[in-house]
Amino acid sequence: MPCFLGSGSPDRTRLSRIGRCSTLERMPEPADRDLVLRTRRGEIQAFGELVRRYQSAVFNVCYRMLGERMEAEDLAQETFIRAYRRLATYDADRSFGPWVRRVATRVCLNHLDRNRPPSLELDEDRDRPLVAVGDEPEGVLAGAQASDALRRAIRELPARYRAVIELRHYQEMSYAEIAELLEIPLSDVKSHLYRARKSLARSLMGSG
Amino acid sequence: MGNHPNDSLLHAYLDEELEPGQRAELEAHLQSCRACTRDLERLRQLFTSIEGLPDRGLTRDLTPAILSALSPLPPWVPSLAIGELLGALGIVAALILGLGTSGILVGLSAAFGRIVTQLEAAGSQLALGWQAALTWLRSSSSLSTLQLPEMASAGIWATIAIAAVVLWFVGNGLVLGRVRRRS
Repeated sequence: MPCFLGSGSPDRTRLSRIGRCSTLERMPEPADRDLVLRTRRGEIQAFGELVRRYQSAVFNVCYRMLGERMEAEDLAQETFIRAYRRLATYDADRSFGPWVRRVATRVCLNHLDRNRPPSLELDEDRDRPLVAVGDEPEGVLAGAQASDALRRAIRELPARYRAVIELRHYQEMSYAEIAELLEIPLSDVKSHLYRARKSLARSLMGSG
Repeated sequence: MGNHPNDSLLHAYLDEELEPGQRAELEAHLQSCRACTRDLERLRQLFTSIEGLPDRGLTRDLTPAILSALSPLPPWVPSLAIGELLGALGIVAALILGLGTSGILVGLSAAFGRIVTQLEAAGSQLALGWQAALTWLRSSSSLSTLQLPEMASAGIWATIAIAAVVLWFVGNGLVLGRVRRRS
């Protein structure tokens, strides 16, 4: 039976490559809220369960923002450490997953603001899209190439454009929510999104 | 909508960020404009491509490294908003009113009464001093016509002192509450 990181959470479920399943598989899982409250009472292991649930989702936020696996894993760790320290500011009645993914976006954006012009080479492994049984091999290859092209195109975007694409398309936030999180005017959100999509469309057209 | 809508309107339409009126107007235009419908379809395909980007799997469990980097949190103290604070004060007041006859509150009342009595005594001493000063000033020739205010009663002084103490507690609660929220 496959093991999915993040199962039972509102985040997308993905096949784990770690190769081991949660020990809580046959037990009813405690709600995120309970885990947060237990963490606040000093039970660090409860926070470990939250990490296990959301590490895949957080890693993917970082990977889309940065495009490098090692860097994304480091930033995913930093995200959870920062989330732990800021747990007092988190409203336990709201979902933990969206909150921690927003923290991840901010962590990555700060990292991008502080560092480097990006190198545009994608790291080691190519995208392996989730493939339905019966897909043609050519279709699989074309899908992987399209994913690579899209990741490359996202990495070519300025950091703020990447952030709005991430928040709008992957975290499904409204313009107003994005403006509040990034502390920018609503008009900037619209223009960033518009330009980012134009740029992505041009890149994808060029690669296709 | 006679003219073609600009591209940003199409983006806002797919993002579901248009006002109902704008949305209806755009949809009416799309029904009769093949060029805009084609542009919208291209944009929708781009959205589908972006959102269809597959997730990547982790190659290792990040949990041990994260947990080893954590130190115990300081005791969590929920910060109070002003409304919550006023609510709490209201509850305390209701409890005092409702339980005023209980033994505990009788004892507390006695202790409080002693404090008030002492404050009144101090106030009385102050008032006597003030009256003596007034008498002395009025007996002197140059100030005999001067109208000076009478000393307020000791009860008023006691009330002012208690109000100051209550304000000090409430004020500190509000300030510290904000500090906790900021941190």
